[in-house]
Amino acid sequence: MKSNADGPSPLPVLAVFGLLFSLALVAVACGNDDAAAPPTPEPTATPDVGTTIELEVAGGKSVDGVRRHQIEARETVTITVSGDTTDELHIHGYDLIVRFAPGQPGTITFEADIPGIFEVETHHRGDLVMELEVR
Amino acid sequence: MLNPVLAHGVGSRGDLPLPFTLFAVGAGIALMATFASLSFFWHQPRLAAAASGRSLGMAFGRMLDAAAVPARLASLALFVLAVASSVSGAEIGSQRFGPLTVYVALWVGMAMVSAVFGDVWRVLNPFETIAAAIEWTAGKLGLPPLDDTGEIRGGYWPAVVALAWFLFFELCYHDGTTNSAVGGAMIAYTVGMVGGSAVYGRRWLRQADGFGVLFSLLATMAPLYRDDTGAVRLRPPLSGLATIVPRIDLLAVLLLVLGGTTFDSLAGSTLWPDLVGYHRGWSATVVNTAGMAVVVAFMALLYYLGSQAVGRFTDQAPEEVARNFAHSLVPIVLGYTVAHYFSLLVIDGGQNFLRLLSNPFDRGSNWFGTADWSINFFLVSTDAIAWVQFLAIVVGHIAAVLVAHDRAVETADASEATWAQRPMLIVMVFYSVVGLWLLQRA
Repeated sequence: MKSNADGPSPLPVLAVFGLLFSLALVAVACGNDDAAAPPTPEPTATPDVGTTIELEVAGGKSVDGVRRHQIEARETVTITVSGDTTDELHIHGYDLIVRFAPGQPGTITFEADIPGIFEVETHHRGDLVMELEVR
Repeated sequence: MLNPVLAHGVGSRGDLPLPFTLFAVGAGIALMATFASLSFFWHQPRLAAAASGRSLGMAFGRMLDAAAVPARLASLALFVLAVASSVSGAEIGSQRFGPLTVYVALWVGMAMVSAVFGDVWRVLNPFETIAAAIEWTAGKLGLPPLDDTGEIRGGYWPAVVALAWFLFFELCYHDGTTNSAVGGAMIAYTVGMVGGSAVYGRRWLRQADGFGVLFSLLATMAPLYRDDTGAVRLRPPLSGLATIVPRIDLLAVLLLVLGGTTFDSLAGSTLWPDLVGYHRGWSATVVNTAGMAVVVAFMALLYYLGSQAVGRFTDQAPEEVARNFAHSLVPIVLGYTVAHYFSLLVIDGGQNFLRLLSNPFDRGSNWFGTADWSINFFLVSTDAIAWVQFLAIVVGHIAAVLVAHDRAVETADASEATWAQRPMLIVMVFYSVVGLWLLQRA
């Protein structure tokens, strides 16, 4: 009960905490840098039509892996999807559907007017193929 | 096999990532400043004494009693509606009423209501209503009444099992947001609750209804409660936490829910697929269940290590420390819940719930005039959501530090208590940084 009975001043304790805390913070922040770098799409579109995202799906999965595309709110977005199966793309939140089939890519253009992060999935397979980050 | 339209039955949007470094520095400074300043001005335990509060008079209590019966019936009706809607398989667009009722209105809504207004679930609990109706019928048939006093063996562990069952469906099972899963899980839960009270009496619900046990813990933070005479009393927020009985099984309830919410945050972050890859179907169920178990164990281990270190300074067994400070986890559980589910409650989840309340069977009804609502995604700005998330985590942890200090000065003077509590401060800083970090990786 009475260990450290003299009640050490809290200030050095805090200094140690501050140091530990900063170290933990630096470790976490550094560990983040590579992973958190947003996989922004190459601007393949002319400025007039806003952002264009091209997606290729094979066997229900995105060929390029699941990437997060960052766009500004109220930006016009065009998503073109091609794939080796007949399926639909479902954009959550916006609740939009894009149909596509082998040799018949699907395209949809919409204004990204809802902020947040939205999953985009193949409907029949149910695989996550990309995410939209609207801010 | 699986209908992907049904995936993500509740919630269609995710929150934007928080700017981590800024927020984490702020959280750390706020926690440490609180911790340091407590030793200067908080020398005596104050919460337990303040927790009795002052009476608002019997009239208020009688008014609430009068409202209790209609509220109880309305809650029962909502519960039956949610089960019936799930069993009938009604889907409106990609949204379902049953899952929204359980995952948004009950789990998130009632948690927040309890923390603000007190133990409302005690009145609204539909299992209690059903059990009471059965008991009344049994009495009419001349059956002897069941013993309803004291405690049955097993303590609150049945509630831990019940909450694990719920969290499994919410966070692990790959089809957990479908009508069939939610309908089945609700019926099974009801059988467990009502069946148990047919055997053990209604005291079973007090120990086995996971929602009830959790909500009553959250309700101790509220400034309102009712005493034994039925009078409504007003007390300082948080003071009621000091009245929580220090028990290992209640600690387990809190660590389970804390770990569950943390896992939900992790599973929704970009970190999770990097760790385990993408899974579907039963493979996802297995990975999620293992992931949740690991996260719960991790949060519990941190807490145990903190208790052990504190125990070394105060010559107490780690279990004793763990029990004594379990109540300080309650504001953290609430903070995590708000941080993680606030936007779901006020934007898509809550608004869809109110919309479908008018049309739960998808038959074109519009009982309350809300069926034609469209979701207002701009009700709360993304900046406001980010601030709510940050403040919920920071304020939750500051409250935890304060409540823990109040308990520590029961047996030691203020500076000793501060000295002995510093392992717990590290645990708190770690919990809050982890919470903020996961939100940054959203």
